Amino acid sequence: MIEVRDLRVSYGGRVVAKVPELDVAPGECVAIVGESGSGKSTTLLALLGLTEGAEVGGRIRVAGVDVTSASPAELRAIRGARVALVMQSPQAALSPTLRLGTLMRRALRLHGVGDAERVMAEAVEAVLLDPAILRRYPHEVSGGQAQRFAIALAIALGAEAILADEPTSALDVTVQAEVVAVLRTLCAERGLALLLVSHDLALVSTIAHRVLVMRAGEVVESGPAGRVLSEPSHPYTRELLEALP
Amino acid sequence: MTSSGSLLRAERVTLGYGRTPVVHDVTLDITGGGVGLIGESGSGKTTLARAFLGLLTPMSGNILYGDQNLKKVDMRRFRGDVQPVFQAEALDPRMRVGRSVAEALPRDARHRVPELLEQVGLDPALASRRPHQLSGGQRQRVVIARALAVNPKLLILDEPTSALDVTVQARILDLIAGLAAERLLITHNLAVVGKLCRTSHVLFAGRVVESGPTADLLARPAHPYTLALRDAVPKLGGEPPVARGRAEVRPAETGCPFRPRCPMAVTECDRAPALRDLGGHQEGQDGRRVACHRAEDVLREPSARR
Repeated sequence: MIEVRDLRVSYGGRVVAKVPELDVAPGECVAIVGESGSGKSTTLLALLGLTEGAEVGGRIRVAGVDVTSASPAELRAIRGARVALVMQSPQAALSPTLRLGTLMRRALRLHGVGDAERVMAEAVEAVLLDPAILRRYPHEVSGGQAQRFAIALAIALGAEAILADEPTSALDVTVQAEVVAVLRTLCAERGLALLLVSHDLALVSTIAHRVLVMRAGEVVESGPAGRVLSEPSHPYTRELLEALP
Repeated sequence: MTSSGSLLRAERVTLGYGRTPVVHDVTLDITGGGVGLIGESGSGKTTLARAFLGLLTPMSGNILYGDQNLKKVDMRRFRGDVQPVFQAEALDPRMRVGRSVAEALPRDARHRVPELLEQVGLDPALASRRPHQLSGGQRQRVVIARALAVNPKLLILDEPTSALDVTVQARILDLIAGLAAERLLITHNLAVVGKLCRTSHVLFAGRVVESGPTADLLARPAHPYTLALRDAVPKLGGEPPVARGRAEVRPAETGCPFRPRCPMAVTECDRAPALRDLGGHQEGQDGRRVACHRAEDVLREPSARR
């Protein structure tokens, strides 16, 4: 679903992210962990061709499209519809003047998805939201509800992969548990590919199959989550683990 | 100190904005060894902290400081004793951080800025920077340095590390743990409370639902809400966090407010439970208080024990 080789993102000659290899298969969750400034989010944005002003080298294939050479129209066709981006604060990305239902209906029409009412009902149910939420405005829902709505939007559009950048770090622990449960189920039952960016290693250990640890733009360690987090070979991974409260 | 041995005391305090109460009839002591206030967004933690800082007058009840009603305390003296530490966004973006710290010092003590920055682990050369030129962790240290400027007896810390990376969070927590001042820590992160607070109070919908020694509270929660909070925290290599009940469900207006979310609710829960001493008085249960009709059943739940 996602295949990256020798990715190199730089701004004005300064390399901010270097990823030799990153693959995410359907039904798999891969996590990129590291501190602020480690290049995790840049890597994620590069996958959708969203690093404006940056020089991007290497090979990126997402949903069968070669992102580095794709035309703007080809990129628009995969963004949202086949690969969804879920950010830390979804409320900031939702139009404040539209009810959530209107917003979802418009997105479906834009991407040519038919039978909108049924698709919407199913998507909302898949993320355990009350269908009544579709009548509300973004400011009338909680952070956790908005985050699950963002995931529902991805499902409604038929996304095969979700790129999630710190999707739960602004949420209460109880709400985080709900969002994580939804993401796990989507991977396991719908075969969704999930690329998760997080600084929370404990959270990552409960959901990811594989982990990439990034520091200052470089991947310092990668491998199966169980091994990387229980027997870290790089001192930085150990430092991250020891920092857990 | 009040006669009960606490630094600050909320006595049957109800707090609100306009005519809407958001904290209901809370009695709580800030004693030595660190006190934690735990709960989700909207549980009333920050509102209670504002009252303890004298920034919000109770609708009813009293905040006591040294056996004196906070309303009657000389606020200049109080501000020297009790200092807030909010998230680092509270720094003035236009002001160099050295000046931000200097502002908190008496005029004749402004030479102490480098010393204070060093005390929180910052290079004094950073004094000439503006907040946006510092990292999140450095900004949080500046906020702590500002609070320490007046040698306070008590720090009231509101989510001091929730916006920080884990490694930076660990260093800030070590810094806080090493300070001489007592602390009231407000957080939704139970792991943080375990490190810094001897006693904790769990707030739900503006009410204290459980109190006690932090270690005991986390090892054997007696309220289903405390259990839900604890089990929602992901553990390294552990089972996925458990989502118990739906966090978005509104608290009940009558009876036990947690009832609509509670997996253990029974008919009895239509009646509001009072905060009571936890029965049994087994070892380690001293000072445990809980507002749940089914607390004894929660304790017997195999999943509640750890």
